[in-house]
Amino acid sequence: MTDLADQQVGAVRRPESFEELVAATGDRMLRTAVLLTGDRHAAEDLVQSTYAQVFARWRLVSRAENPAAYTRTILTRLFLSDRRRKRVPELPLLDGADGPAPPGDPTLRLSLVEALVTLPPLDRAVLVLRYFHDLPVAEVAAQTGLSSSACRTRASRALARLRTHFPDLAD
Amino acid sequence: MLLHDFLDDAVADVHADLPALVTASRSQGRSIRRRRRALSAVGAAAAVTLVAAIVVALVPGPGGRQGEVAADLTNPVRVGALGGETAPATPAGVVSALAESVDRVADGKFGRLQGEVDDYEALAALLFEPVGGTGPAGQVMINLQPLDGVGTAPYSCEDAWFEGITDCETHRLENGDSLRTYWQLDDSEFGVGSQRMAVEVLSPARHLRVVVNVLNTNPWAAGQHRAEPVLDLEQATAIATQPWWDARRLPVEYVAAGKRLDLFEG
Repeated sequence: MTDLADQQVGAVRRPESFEELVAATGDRMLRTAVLLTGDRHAAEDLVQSTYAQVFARWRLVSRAENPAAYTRTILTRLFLSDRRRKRVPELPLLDGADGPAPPGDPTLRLSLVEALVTLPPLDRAVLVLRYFHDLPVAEVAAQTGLSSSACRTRASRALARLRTHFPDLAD
Repeated sequence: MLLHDFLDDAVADVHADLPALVTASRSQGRSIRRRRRALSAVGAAAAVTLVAAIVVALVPGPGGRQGEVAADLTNPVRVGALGGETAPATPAGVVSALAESVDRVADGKFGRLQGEVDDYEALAALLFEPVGGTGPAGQVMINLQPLDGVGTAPYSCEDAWFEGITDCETHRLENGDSLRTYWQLDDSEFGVGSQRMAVEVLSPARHLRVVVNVLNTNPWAAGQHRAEPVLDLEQATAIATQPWWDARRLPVEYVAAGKRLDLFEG
């Protein structure tokens, strides 16, 4: 499994500057944040807070083995922290999300994000890290503070919930 | 359809305003740095390294004069046996845990207790003036951080190298954690004659990095130094290897004891 943002940063391996890291990972982090929060403004706030933490620790981050992964870890932790989570709206699932629609359908895309937001934040984080970033279970566990078995359980349960609205969803 | 493809498709047209993101996060990041410096001055040499702890060096505040050492508290924290229950970490709670841990291994007086807990880490610092010996009180500091950016086990001294480091050793603990110890001499923050002893516990199981730093001086001492850091290696190791250290939660006894502490506002 690979991670696009990690690959992008891998190309520069040790980013020369904070700007270089943001350029290589900014889109990916914002997309992750949108999936986690379900809200563009909350996502932008989360990403900005994440990079602020990265900037404040730049000398540490720039020497990390994988700065993109380090950044993603900070983003995940900020999202999962109580303070951050309280600011993230829990959106109701749209009526139109009851059945599958063709890939690329804007209604489906919107509904999927909103369906994600109905999941508990920790389940959401597990799904996004596991299936959007394609991280191994052990790494998802490390980033979320769960055991590997708890990650599998949460992922399975969350997928089952999503499948009630998207029956064709495969893991 | 694969969930991966669903997710990719759902956010395919999401793009960040990268220049604005850089500007805003740099500005916010500077604020974080300033806030941290209000608590601590980051030891310059240590801060530029991957593996060095963020060294908390208390900055003389309005109440402090150069050369003044305010270590006049005896046993500032007393808790009984820990019951195993934890509560969210608080700045005073972390200091409370550090002070009591020091008091368990050494006799002396305490001063200028400081702590901070943020979304990423918890840290605390205090002055400790041990019984015996001559010279100023020394700082004892602890950082509790996620185990990020320090590579993977087995951890080595090569990972920890930076200018001025000496006598680095690594050991594997019985519980699977790694212990790394080293000294930094004559660092730029505290000048020629200064010594910083660092004891790191790197715990993959807890995804935690504990760093205890012990100095032979403090920022108010204006170039004065003790012959040795105010705790020895065995004492610092006993503190760093306490199994209940965590960046987010602490034993309830320490959180409760912290409520009775007056923290120093540097």
